[in-house]
Amino acid sequence: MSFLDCRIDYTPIIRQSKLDNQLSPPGYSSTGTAIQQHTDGEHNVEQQEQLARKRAWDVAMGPAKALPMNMFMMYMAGRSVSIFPIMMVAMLLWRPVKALFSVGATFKPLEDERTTGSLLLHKIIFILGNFATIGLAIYKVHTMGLLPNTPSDWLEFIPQAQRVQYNLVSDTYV
Amino acid sequence: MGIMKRIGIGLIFLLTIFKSCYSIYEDQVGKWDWRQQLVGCPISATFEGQSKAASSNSQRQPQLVVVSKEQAIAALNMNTGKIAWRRLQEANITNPEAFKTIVDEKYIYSLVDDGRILRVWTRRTGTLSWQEKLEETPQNGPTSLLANNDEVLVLSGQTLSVFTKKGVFKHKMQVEKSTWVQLHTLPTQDVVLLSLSASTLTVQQVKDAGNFLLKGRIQLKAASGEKCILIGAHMACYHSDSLQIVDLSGQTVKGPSEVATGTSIRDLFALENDRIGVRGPDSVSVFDLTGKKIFTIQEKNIEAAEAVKNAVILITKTQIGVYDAKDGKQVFKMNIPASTFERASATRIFVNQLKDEYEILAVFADCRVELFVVNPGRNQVTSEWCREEGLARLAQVEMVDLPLSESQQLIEDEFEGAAGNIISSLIKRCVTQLGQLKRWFIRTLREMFTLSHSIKTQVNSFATLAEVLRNAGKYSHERGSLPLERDLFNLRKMIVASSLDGVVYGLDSNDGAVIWKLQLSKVVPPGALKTALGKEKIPLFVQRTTAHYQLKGQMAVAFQNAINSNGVIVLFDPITGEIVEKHQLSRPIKRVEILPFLGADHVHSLLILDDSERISFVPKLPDEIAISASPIFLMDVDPKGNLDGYKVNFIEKRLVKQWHTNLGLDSNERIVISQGKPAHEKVHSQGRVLIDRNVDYKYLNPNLVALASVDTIHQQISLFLVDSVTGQLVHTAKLLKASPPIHLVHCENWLAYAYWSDRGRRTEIGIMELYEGEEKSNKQKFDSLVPTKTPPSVVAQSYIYAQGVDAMAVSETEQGLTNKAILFALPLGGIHEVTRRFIDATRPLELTQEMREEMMIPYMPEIPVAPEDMVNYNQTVYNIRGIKTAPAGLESTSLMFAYGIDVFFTRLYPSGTFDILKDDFDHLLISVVLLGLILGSIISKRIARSNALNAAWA
Repeated sequence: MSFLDCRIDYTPIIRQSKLDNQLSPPGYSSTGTAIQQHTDGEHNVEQQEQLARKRAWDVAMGPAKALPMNMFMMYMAGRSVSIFPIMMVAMLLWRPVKALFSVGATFKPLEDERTTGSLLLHKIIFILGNFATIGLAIYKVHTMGLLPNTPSDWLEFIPQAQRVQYNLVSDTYV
Repeated sequence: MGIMKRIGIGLIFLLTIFKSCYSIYEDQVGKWDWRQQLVGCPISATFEGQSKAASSNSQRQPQLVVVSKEQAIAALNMNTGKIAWRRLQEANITNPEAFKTIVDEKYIYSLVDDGRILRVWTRRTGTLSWQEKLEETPQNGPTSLLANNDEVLVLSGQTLSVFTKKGVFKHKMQVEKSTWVQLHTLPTQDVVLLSLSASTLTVQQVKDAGNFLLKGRIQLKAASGEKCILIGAHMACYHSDSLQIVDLSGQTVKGPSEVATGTSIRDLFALENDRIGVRGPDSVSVFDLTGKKIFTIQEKNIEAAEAVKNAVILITKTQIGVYDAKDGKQVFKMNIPASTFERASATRIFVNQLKDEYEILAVFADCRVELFVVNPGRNQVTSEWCREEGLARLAQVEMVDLPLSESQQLIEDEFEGAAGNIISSLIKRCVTQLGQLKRWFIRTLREMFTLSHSIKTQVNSFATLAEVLRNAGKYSHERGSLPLERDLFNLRKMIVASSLDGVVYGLDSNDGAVIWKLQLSKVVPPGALKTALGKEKIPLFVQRTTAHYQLKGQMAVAFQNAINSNGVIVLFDPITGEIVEKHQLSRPIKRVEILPFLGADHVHSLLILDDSERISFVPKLPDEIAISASPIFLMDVDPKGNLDGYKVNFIEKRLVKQWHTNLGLDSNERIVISQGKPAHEKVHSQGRVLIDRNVDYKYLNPNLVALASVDTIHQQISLFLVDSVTGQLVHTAKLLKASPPIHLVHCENWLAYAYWSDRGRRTEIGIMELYEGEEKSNKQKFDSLVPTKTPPSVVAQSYIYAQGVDAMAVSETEQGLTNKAILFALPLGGIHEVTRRFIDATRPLELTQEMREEMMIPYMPEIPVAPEDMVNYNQTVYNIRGIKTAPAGLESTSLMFAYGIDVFFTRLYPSGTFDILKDDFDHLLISVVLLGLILGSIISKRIARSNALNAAWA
């Protein structure tokens, strides 16, 4: 008998598979799960919604929440005008500006839900938070003395005063 | 511990500051600066006996000993005219007549420092042999000095002191007061003292025992001893045309025997065999001691005459004549060789007779010294060398921009007068551009020729080739090859300087060469103007700069006619020295000022006030300008503290008195200095930035005048700041226990002053700064008649300066942006540049962190005097009377010219060279490297490509 004559009979396995879950772990009921799934469906949507709202609030409050940390960082950076403080301040200024230009993109993933209507407030808060960060950065620049907001910054542009009268001073000869 | 730490911190701080001071490197010596050492206007000259013969045998160069009005004793090299040695004496003297010198074979005896000190120098090297102090106080009486065979007799004050030749004091005796004294050795070796007071001549014989023997008193016509000479045992004096001869030989004085010479006598000189030469304007007569005329030489306009062993030498305007001393026959007469500049009249000649030639040292009225060698055998006169000693007597200096260069002018031309049709303007542009091209071509060719020449003559190795190539740019700047024109950064200027002898010089600021010389004696005999505060001046004014390239520059010089003291104004071109106009006024000048606004032809007119209070304008002011002129105010200061303010009425041409005030000075207090602010001062920053970033606005009153008065009895100096328009006293300050010399620098909003502090026995520098406060009353205009919101506040501070001060000035730059630097000329010969950051009234006592961040310098009482801050490094300059600064075209650079007995010019960089490349910036290396890199990249690209191709085939 050659090897080619051999046949594998699959039927019993197919039949077995058609049989009720003999291979399922003990206590597993396929029907029960389906029912449970069905009953949990409504509850889950509510949770999702809550989560999304929470997420949206997280995103909206993000800049504001980072503010104390940023303030501490800026405090630590010191007043001296050198490369690292400048870089830090520049980052601090640049990130919120970038965020302000991508408000829509930031909130896009959250807009899919049915929470769309209330996102306007989030956006406003998000924008305000970013403005606060920018304000902090500007304040920092100001304390570093880089803002031309004092009279001394404009001193060099004051022209020399014109003379109304002229005096002639040299010697009197005798 | 604390103190040590503080000192340590201070030292570290000082070291960091000195890094910012810019001293020069060794290879920069003489690159931008030059110095001329002078001896001053000679009053006597002594030749070395038979100098030529002696010099050929021994190695040493023959010397000429010169004694000058400027209290200098110097030896000049006979062959070159260069200074062999020079000894300067005390310069701040009150009685120049007291300076006496005697030169003998080995020593030079000199009575110096107002007759206080007797100094003896060796003749050859000028080393001090011995000196003796005679008097404590300056002597204002006459003095006399005599060196015998074994004694030195010196009369100073009313004491005759006798020393041995080695300087050992022998005895002294009292002498009566007189107006003129002279010690003289008779042929019998007796010493007589001649004294003249009120035309009475007293002759006394000086006995060895230390007493006098009266030989007689006689009346003379001559009232001053300057008109007398001593010949052997005789004295000859002149008065107008009569000659009086006194015989001093006997026990009693005989004479005077009087001779009428028939000419108005100018001068007397002694001849061999006791004969007297009498020089009149057109003749020289020789008399013997009995008054018999021996011979007369007739010659037109004799300027000076002198006799040597067997010849009488005359010099006229154009000729030198040699005459036999026995019979007056003419031996030789020839024209003086032409010189670059017109000569003034000779005032004095000194003659030395050599074997077959005569050396004649002529001193001219403008203090030019020239040595002529006359060789009658070869029939030639040569001018060996000359020295412009008038530069040691400069009165005022201005620096003038050179005219635009031809190429700059062509560019101006190209865009000038655009009106016209297209074709003509096209042709014009083509022509001017062709002109520019031609000029560039000629210039380049010339540069190439000089370069190839210098390569041929100088190069013997690669290193020198590189050096020559590197210096190639400089050859084109040599004078003579190109006309005088402005350089790229306007660093080269014409220095126009007037001397007290009535000459105006034009000096090239590149090397100090005299470009032109304007003899004011061509107009009238010049005299200096004397100021009410007791100084002599010949003021110069720049009426038109060379900025208007179609018009020539114009300057004016004011002086007085020496004969009738009427004012004279001469207008001239500052680049060529040619006279444009002459104005001889009919009255003496009381004031002369330059108007701040332009009149006709872009000329600033001069305002001249004569002693009858009448005003005139030179050149005349057009009516429409006179009507619309802005108000002009004048202030008169008299030494007693009376101040008067006037306003100029241009239409009626008179002064209108505005105010009068008296400073209330003490009876023995005198105003010594009155100083306004520079007329065209540029102030870039209108305020000072405070530490809280606010601004303290400067009180920039352009009409403010600083006055300084000195009370020598109570040893105090007072300073006044007066607004010259309103007469308002803005600030006064009193320095107790202070005495002159006092020097002021008044500019921007500050006044710096140097004085001698009697309490500290040191020189101190004060600084006063005026501020308006944190608000400026009017930012657009400054009106003295409108009061400021708050009275100006004054911040003052003083510093210790470890050196004396001869003169003081402040640097000046184009825009006034660069920090100012204050220049001090020191008596030891340095010119010290101190940045204003040191001499600052607002230096804090305690330094906080913020102040440190702002790089403020804490207060330290001493101003450091570091040798590297001397702008003249080792080129010492002495007796500096003034320093003139002028802006260059570059903001960082200020030009400085110091004048005294030496003159010195250099460039200053008060804030460093921030707008120019470093001097040693290697253009050649950079361009070679750049070219190499480009070539390398091209080559490597090709190689890479061929390699890649090969790799692909393999």
